[in-house]
Amino acid sequence: MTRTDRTDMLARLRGQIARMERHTSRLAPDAGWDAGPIPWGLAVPEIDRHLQGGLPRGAAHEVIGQGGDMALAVLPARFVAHVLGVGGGPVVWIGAGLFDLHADGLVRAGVDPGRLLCVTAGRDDVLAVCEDSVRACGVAAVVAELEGALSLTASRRLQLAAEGSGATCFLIRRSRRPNDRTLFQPTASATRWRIAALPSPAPIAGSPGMRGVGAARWSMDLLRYRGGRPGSWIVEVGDAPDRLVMAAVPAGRAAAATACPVAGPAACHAVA
Amino acid sequence: MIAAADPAARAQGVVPGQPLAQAQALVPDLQVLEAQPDRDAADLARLAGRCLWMSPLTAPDGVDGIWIDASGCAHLHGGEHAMLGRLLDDLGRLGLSGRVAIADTPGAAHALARHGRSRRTVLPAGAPETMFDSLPVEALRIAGDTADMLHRLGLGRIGAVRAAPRAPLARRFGPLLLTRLDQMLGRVAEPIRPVLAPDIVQARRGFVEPISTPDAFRMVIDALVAEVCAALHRRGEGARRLDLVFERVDGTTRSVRVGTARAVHNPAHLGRLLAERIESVEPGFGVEAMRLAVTAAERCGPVQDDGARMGSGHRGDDADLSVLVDRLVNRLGPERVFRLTPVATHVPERRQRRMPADRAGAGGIWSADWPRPIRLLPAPEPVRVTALLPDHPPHAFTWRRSRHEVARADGPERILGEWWRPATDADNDRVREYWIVEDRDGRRFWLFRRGDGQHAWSGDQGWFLHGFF
Repeated sequence: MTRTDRTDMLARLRGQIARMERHTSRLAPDAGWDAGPIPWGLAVPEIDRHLQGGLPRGAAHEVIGQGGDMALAVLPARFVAHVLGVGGGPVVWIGAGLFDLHADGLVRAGVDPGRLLCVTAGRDDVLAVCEDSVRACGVAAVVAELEGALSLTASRRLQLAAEGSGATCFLIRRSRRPNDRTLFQPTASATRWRIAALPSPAPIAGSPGMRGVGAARWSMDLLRYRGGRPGSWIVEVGDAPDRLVMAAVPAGRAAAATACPVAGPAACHAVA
Repeated sequence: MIAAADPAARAQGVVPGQPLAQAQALVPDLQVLEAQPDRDAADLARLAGRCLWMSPLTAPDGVDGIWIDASGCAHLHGGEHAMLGRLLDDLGRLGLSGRVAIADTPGAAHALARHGRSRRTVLPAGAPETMFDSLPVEALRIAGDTADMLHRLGLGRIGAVRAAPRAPLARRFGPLLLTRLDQMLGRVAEPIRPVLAPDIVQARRGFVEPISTPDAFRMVIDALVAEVCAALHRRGEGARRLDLVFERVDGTTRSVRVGTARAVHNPAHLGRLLAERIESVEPGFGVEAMRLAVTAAERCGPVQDDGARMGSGHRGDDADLSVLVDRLVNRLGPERVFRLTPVATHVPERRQRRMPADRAGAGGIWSADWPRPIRLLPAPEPVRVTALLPDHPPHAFTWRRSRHEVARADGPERILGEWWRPATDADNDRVREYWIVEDRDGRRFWLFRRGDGQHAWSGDQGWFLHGFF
């Protein structure tokens, strides 16, 4: 067996595995679907470049808060709202027990609340309802607020359901305990994000006291990315009435040291 | 054998029950048509369905009659006499002739319509039992040989039968004769089995052995749904509400009702909705029949998304979520599946309202001119604050036993209460002054102070946490 034969065979086997993994439920491969759907962009060029276009559709994505925000998952919700605002289509948002989304806040994040079908499920029902919604026809995205641990099996089911239907599933992971390590256990989701608040810069350089809040600053850590490298960015969140814009800013923190080129300081202040 | 004869034939001496050869001997040019009892029965049932214009309960009676339960209906038609007149007119328009009677019991009405003196009989309510004494025993709906025997015994009239001792009669003729007599006289209730409105689509399965397992129920549901959906499909209709009735061995019934957001005639969709509700049914000692009825239907287009397009990349804002909505509503309850609609108010916690997702008309124009939090506490929660000046935001606040040092703050944004509601309502603050504050970690909160800081009527200066950015 020559070397080229072996390479060919490897390529063939890889192709077979890829076909198996991609699932047979994808209909009509000749209808331009073999290339996969357009990824779900984040409207932040640096991050989208890192993700090769954006978050893969037809996959599950986990978003986790940090510290005290783990219980409330405010920034994860804000992040997901931003992502939903970039893409279109109907969304099912499943709250566990309580439903505390504020529609005006969604509007500020760029999401029309009319797109949302809201569900409040019991804590034990969330996964089942989520899976049903992901499998349903005509849903662009499903957002589920999950309290506590997510087993590998359960996440695999969700991931497979999403792959089968093409709907994108966002899991907002919450925990009553701050810095709960169980949220970071391995799952089958395509990406895992941690969104944490950072102290924002002064709205006007050198302004005294605590007058005024400027653009919010987050650190976004891509902790896990199947088929890609993790990454870490610091972004500023402009607060525009219609569409929220995020801009990568140069970070004074070491966390921002990633492969992605960061924009200059002019970019960040142009947004706020 | 002659089954029926028209008036012209009867005038020539042809009577039902005669051998055909004898009749043809009497009338050589007799026109003979093959009797079709099945079609006659079907037509009678259709005619009973037509009579629903008079009353909600109608049923075919034997092979040649129709029962109409006119209780409480006469006044709609101008009294009982007028009602019968209209009925005869209606039959006349169809080219039919008939005899009608109103009485207290179905048995009495049956007897009077066939053996009464006139075409139209109205027996007043509470008529004495002797009213029927002069009628022949055939009026009792008994077998022909029983009637013959009674005639031979000299009991040819109902009055004679009524006066005869009951025990020997029962021994001689069986229980049916006396039951019929009692039913006619109203001593024993006789329910009539009504035809259903002809526009109800339904299907029923009876079982040889009672069933009680969910798997068996599921199989029957699939069969029933397929039948019902085929019927709906033919009519270009879809179901909005379905009732699945389980007839149990002990004679009681259990039922499950599912609703849909829009007209559906997709078997998979309806089958799944029903199957998910099986657990709520107690089979008891077993279920011997199941009936599925479409109790509300609407027109719907012939093409319906059956889920086969899943994953084909077809999705848009107009995509149809009704399948999912139906499943979730039937599973979780209607109050837990909703859409948000805006309310014209500035008070944040009253700004959005939940609209049932299965009802059309949800939606509205949203606008947010000011920064608003993404999450809002259902009710503002009081916080302990360290504030130096009344015009300033607090330096620190304590919420749920954790202390937050305020690094930055923006405000105040004054939101006035709803003046159109009484200020005494506990949830209607006169004035709130909202601040966006950021703690030392960069987390942002929405705090407000009740009152404008100047006037006692405007609020008690308490601080509350309301939302999170």
